[in-house]
Amino acid sequence: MLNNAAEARARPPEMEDADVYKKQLELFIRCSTDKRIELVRLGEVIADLRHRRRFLDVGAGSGDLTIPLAQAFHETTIVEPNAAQIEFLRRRYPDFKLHNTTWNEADLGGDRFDFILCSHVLYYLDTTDWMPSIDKMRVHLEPDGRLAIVLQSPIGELANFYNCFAHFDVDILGLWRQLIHRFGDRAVDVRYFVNEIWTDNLDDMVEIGLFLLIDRNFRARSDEIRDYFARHHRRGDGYRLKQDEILLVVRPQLS
Amino acid sequence: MQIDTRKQGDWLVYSISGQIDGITAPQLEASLRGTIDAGESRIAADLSGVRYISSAGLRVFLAALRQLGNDRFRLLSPTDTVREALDISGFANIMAISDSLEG
Repeated sequence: MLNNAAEARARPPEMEDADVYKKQLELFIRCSTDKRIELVRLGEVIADLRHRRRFLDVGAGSGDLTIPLAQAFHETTIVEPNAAQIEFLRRRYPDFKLHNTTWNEADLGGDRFDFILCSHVLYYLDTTDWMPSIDKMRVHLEPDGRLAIVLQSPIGELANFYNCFAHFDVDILGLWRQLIHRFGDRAVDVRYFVNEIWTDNLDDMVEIGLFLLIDRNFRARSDEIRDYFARHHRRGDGYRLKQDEILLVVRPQLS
Repeated sequence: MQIDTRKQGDWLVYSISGQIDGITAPQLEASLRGTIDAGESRIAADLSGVRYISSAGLRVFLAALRQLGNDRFRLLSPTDTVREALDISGFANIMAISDSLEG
């Protein structure tokens, strides 16, 4: 059990097996009724770009955001450490440039992009690696490009669930302060939006909870997670979990 | 940016005027944090004198909201410019905003 922030962050999460992860991800996407709001918010950022030539998605997962957003760009590049997801994208979208590795290991040479997306990825890194990873993204960003970082909010139902079991916060307030310090106040913009996750049954909500907790060691606490959702998230015939999300947009040319 | 505080019933009202931006937001954040740490449990930010707010200011409000909760932190009388920033950012959907403490 993770007892405090320091202990929690000292250990890298142990990921689920590829097949389990794939099923959890598909379940999460299928049950996210308002996931399209993230696409709308990202679309607003893309519409504001001066050029829409090259798009980089860092940690694309199954490509649920990448695939629709790629239609706005001439060229799409993906960095994704999950081999099964990369193979799926390779079969379906042979024009995508795919890098099957972690962001920190990725070698993109001198490639630069008009838009870089990093959606719900930083949780997989130690907090101390967040800014170095973002600095690397900045290197690959066109001077008039945009970097979009999406993380869950520190408030709301999902934050409460996360704090209850993982006992540490997603330090987006700290990241936000660092981005302002690094790039300047005018270069950092924010959008707040809420996704809703609905399931017909408790088993599916527990599986989504385990997916959101990332580390498979939490599977040993499935009964506690089941009780939590049964107590707090029963809505009519199903279960609902609200996911408050924050989009931070960095525009370095304004720094 | 200038901050004046007054007590109104159970609430401590922060009357803020000027700009809340990357330069001034740390001062506001430190003041709010100190007040909350000292035990003040209901805080309202009167924004009728604020002519500009950046993401640094929104960040301070989110931090206060997180510490106090939605029924204990509210924004009062935002100017049109600030209201627009709250609407565009989506913060208007999560913050309690009214024209008075009775509202």
